[in-house]
Amino acid sequence: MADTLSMLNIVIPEIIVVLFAFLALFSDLKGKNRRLAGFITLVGFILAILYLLTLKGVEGNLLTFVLDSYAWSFKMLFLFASAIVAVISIGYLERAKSSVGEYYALLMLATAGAMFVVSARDLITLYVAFETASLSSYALAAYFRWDRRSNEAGLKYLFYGAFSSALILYGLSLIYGLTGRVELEAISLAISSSPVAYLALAMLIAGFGYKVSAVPFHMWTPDVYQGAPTSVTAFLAAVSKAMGVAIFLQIFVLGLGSMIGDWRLIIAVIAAVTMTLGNVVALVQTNVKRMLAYSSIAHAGYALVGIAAFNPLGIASAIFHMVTHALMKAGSFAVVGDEGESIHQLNGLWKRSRIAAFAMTVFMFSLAGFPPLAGFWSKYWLFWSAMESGLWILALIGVLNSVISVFYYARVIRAIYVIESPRTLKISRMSSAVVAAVICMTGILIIGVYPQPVIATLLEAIRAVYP
Amino acid sequence: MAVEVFVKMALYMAIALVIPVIAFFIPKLFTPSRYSYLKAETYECGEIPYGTARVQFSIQYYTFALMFVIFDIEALMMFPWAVVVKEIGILAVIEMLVFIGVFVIGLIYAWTKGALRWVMNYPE
Amino acid sequence: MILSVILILLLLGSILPWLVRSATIARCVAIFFAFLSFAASIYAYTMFEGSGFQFEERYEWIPSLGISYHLAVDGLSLPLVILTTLLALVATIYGVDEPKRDNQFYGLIMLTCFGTAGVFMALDLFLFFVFWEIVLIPMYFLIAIWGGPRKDYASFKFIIYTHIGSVIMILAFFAMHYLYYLQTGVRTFDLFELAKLSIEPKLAVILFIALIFGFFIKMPIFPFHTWLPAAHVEAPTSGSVLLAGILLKMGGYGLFRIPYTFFPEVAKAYAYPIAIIAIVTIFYGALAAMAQEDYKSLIALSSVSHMGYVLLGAAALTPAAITGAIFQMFAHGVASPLLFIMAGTLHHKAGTRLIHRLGGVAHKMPIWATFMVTASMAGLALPFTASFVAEFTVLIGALEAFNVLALFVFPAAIVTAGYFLYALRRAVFGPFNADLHIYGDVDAHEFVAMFMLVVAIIYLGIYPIPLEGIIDTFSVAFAGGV
Repeated sequence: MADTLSMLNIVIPEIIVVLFAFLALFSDLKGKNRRLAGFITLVGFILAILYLLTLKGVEGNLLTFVLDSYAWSFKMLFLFASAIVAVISIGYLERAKSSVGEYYALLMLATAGAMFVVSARDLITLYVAFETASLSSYALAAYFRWDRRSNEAGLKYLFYGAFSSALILYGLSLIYGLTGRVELEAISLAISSSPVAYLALAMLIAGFGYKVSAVPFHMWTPDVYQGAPTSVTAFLAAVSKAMGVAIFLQIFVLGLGSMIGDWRLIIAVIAAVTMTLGNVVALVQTNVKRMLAYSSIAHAGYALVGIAAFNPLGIASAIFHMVTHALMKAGSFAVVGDEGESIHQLNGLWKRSRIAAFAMTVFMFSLAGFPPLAGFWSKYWLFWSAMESGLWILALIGVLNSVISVFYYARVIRAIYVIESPRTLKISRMSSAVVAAVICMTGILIIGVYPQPVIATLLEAIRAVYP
Repeated sequence: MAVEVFVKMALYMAIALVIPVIAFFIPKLFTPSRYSYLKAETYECGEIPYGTARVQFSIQYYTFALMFVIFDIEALMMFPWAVVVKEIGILAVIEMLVFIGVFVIGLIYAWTKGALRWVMNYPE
Repeated sequence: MILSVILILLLLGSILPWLVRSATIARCVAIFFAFLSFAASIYAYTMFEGSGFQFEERYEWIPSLGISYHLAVDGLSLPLVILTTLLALVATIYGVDEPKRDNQFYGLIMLTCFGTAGVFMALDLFLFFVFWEIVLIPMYFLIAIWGGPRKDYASFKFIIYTHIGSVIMILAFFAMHYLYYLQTGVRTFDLFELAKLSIEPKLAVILFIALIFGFFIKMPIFPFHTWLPAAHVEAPTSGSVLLAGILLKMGGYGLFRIPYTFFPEVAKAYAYPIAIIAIVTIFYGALAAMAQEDYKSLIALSSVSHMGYVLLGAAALTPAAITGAIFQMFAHGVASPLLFIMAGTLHHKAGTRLIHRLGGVAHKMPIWATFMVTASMAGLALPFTASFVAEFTVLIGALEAFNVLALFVFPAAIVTAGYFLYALRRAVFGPFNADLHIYGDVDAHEFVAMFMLVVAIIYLGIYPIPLEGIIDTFSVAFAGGV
């Protein structure tokens, strides 16, 4: 037990986040300062990031709560992305004249849940952690109580989420029934192909498919992304999606890796269909939030390519893709939240805010996969890993999808720079969203020009999970 | 081996489904059926119903119900904890304190927000 | 070092105009950096000795993927680098058609030149692709923002065509990269390393076709040329200058540098089909140009025809033909921009480019008419212009290689002369069309831009040795290697 307590330092980042969540909650009770809670949140995230930095390279566990380089990388991603979301929220909530109330507390609890997910190495911790994150994000999606679409988003998200949770729980219980174990590593040793295992596999793929919004389980995504407050949408795209991929990695690679032969084809097909549907439907959207939602579906498909590839490079690049996707999506939702969600509202953006316009252009090019931007490298890696595993066709579908995607991203750029807007009013303000966008843009440019350190870190990180 | 367990389980579930259905239909065969006005009335524990079926409750009722359910579940959690607390020792006590602490914080928050006031003072 | 200096100068020239407020200062900055880069490329020319790749620079960029920053120039690329910096200077001096968002305009012009110069210098296939894509973006904006009435259609078509071409190209790059990885276990995109690949003949044909497909779209070669008239007609004058002058050359350059270097056997085996495509392109471009009423689309289609000569030279694969093809790239790279500048000036001063609405322009714009005649002569390859040297050399080379087939090109030369002279007669000479309002002759800055190009055309037409000497170092070695 003394040993257990001595390892307590590995949960300190999570503890910091939870404590600051309570602080943020209570800060709203007295003063009605909208910004205070936001800054408390930001401080909490920064402290957690700083503490996490000191834990780099530390390996340890508290029972089945494990900190290794894999969990470390994901936690860093979650904390950083959530901090950006907090920056966006400070300005966004103020402009929407929303009460602050539980918003930041929910945001931090959702982040804490996601952080527990990547450290969980048994089914029960995993499930509880991931429900913590999910429940918080349902409430966040419905946060604008006066807005019908936000209500719709929250309700839809809740129903689909509850349904998928039920499926997941059933799948997990079947696995437990088959193996009698809840630890992922023990499961991977004990499990073998059988009809019941297939049933469990189907349940889990369907359930987690909902979470990462893979086709055909994606239907909630456009409505929720469009309806939710834009800062929350940024959170869903950046953190929730990455968490979904993390669970995929933990369950399928760590837990069911020995059944690779049974699920690889399914995941590969789902990846192909997800990429294609996401990109093709995004082509005709005129609402930027909805378009980015479909693009987010497509990007889930790209990440699944890495999981289907099932080699060190594929898994590392799935994580890498989530890193770049988080930066690109958080940044673009920041700009969209500031400017308006219809594509016409972006017309002539360059005249109103050059920084936001340039940042948005970088995000769009990066999402479309133009070299040398961050989005290119992660896609490049994913497709390369698929080829290494002999999944030529999947890589080819991925490349063709990247081509298709150029057209709808180019529409946004066209609106920003080419189409003249009747709104000539020049607003030279530095909103919090612009700050967030600039941070994301800097990240994308740095990773884009010199991806080597990130690649090296992630390749190191996946040693912890790859069997 | 494991599959056989599930076969038994499935068998059990099938039987479990069939029995209530049978139980539901057997009385139909034996009971006499006589219609009367009172039998068609809504069942209200013997009281004579009055008014419409749609009754509005105060919204506060739901807040109270939610709070009740949360603390109800909390109590439920303590039973399995009580079984193993001796084996695990001080760590288990700390964990339960943290657990209850979170609830207490929640309660304080709800209290301060006014969720426990039955009659709300609406602003003019 | 000198190559990086050229690139950095062009890049600075593309960033700094965005940061200044005044349009005039932005233009001066762009011209200043374009001039510096031109001077640097001339300096590189004077330092160029012997043959083979020179001024080589190599730094690891992303070692785990085998990507490096690898630059060098040889007799093929150095002329094109000089052409790029020259046209950067010409385009910035000529300037923007309608004053609107000038700073961005100059920045984008310089960015296009930066990308193109990078394409000509890169010896790492990945770096090549990065520069290749960089060119696409500013050119899209140049057409979409400053373009003519149908700019939306033209810019969209431009980006679709060229992007599809580049995707097929990069797929082929990755395939070669992957094959090399399978054979040696080393990841590299280096051109020299990948050229050592031994690829089975069937696969080599597929890769060859994939590669030339991407470059054919860019050149453009019939039947992939349809983006070009639309893009050229709608693009602003300086955009057309770069489009015709250097963007098309990226296709021609890539053809020599990649598929012909990697798969010479395939190129030899398919010499006749490629030559036939080239001749069809020459004819198609010339005949279609004859039917045009808009001066700009006439010039655009003449570009298609002229780029056909480059492909013909490549197909022939004799030293003379290759020298001719590369010389043709340079010659067309100065003649075609001049023609576009003439058309742009005409549009400014006369308000129209439609040939049937012009007539007798020479009466009111004598200086313009003088330049126009010179430009048209360069277009139809009159002796003492650079184009003549180029096309003549290509034809000699093609005769060596294809005998009778090459004779089919001669009628096309007559058609070319026909449409240029016919257009001149209707638009520039003859009685003055009284409905026309001419607002003065050539402006000073336009004159400077035209004059620089005319000097290049005539000088190389009379004394081609300075350029041909350099090109020969490449083509002799190349044809020998094949």
